[in-house]
Amino acid sequence: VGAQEKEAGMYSEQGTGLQGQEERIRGDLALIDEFASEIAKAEGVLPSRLNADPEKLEQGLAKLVLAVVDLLRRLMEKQAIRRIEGGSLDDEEIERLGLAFMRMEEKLEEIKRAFGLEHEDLNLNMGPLGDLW
Amino acid sequence: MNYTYWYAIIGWSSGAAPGSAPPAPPPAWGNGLLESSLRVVVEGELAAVVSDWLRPSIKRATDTVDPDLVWQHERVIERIMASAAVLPVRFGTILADDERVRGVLRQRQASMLADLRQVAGCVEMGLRVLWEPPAPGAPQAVAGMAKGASGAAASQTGGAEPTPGVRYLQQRAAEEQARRAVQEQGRALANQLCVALRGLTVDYRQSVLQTERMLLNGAYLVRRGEVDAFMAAIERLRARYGDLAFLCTGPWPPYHFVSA
Repeated sequence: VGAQEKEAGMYSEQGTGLQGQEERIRGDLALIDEFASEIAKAEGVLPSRLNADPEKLEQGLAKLVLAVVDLLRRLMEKQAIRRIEGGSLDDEEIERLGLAFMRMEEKLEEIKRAFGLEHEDLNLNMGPLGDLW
Repeated sequence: MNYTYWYAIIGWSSGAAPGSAPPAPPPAWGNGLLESSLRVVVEGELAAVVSDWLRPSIKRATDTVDPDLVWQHERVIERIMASAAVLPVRFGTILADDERVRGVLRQRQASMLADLRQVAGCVEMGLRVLWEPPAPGAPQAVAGMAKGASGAAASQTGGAEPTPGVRYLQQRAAEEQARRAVQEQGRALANQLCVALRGLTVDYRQSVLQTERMLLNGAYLVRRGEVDAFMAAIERLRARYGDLAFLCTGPWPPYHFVSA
């Protein structure tokens, strides 16, 4: 079925509620794969259930725990940046905080590598709140 | 043992006395999943359209769902929708028995009746818009850092490098600012799109920047008679915003307009 025929079909059948599957998708169809991948991302990276294969289960749990730890690190970092922008920290405090965050990030990187996880794996989908980052 | 597979909720005015034979669904609704027979479970002014199901879950061993089954579910709802206002139930909703279904209808009678009134005569249209987030501008000196980085600022004029911890946080702050600027730009753009559609929608549910590229992910409740106008409005947006990619789907049953 050509694109134009499809287009004709979707308008003529309008309102019957019984259109075919393709007829209900319009727009920049050339980019359909990109839409699909973004929709998949938006709908959540966390598996709907944990795989019972012991090795994978461990990786799944590590992913979950690391994602939460990484979330806390990011929140604290943002808080620190806000305080710096607000001017309530002196240089020595900024240096100390900066070093602490740096080391925390390095440590997390190490653990991630140990469990074979990628950066993207740690992004938690927060439902209606959108992505974690 | 049979479980109860749930397709939809409709309004029901029944004059039948309690204890009489259960009401039969009209033949125009056809059959349910895997050609199972549809039944109607009435509670107060609401009725659930259900069928028997052998397992407590739709999935078997794998995590993938047969798209044919999803379409069968969808078709049942659409056949009912042809003659009545419908609250669609999410694919794969299975309860232990009819009594549990009645319990849900009882508990949420008021909100479901209100939802039914709202969606009457309407369909749901989906719209997703992708954008290319602008590359963050060259990292600027972070204004707020002026004080905090006074050591660094002084050191820049004085020649000494900022200390590693300060440098790390400076870089983070610059990234954070750039990110906020991009988000701000995205929100403004998404808002322009929403405003252009507002007059054509009864209600909407939308998320802005759910992912970096998904500028807008929205579900719009549109009167049946205005579906063409809605699609035409989106075509106009497509023509006007050549840099954005639009994907419009529907009409669908009003899945996103059933209160949780």
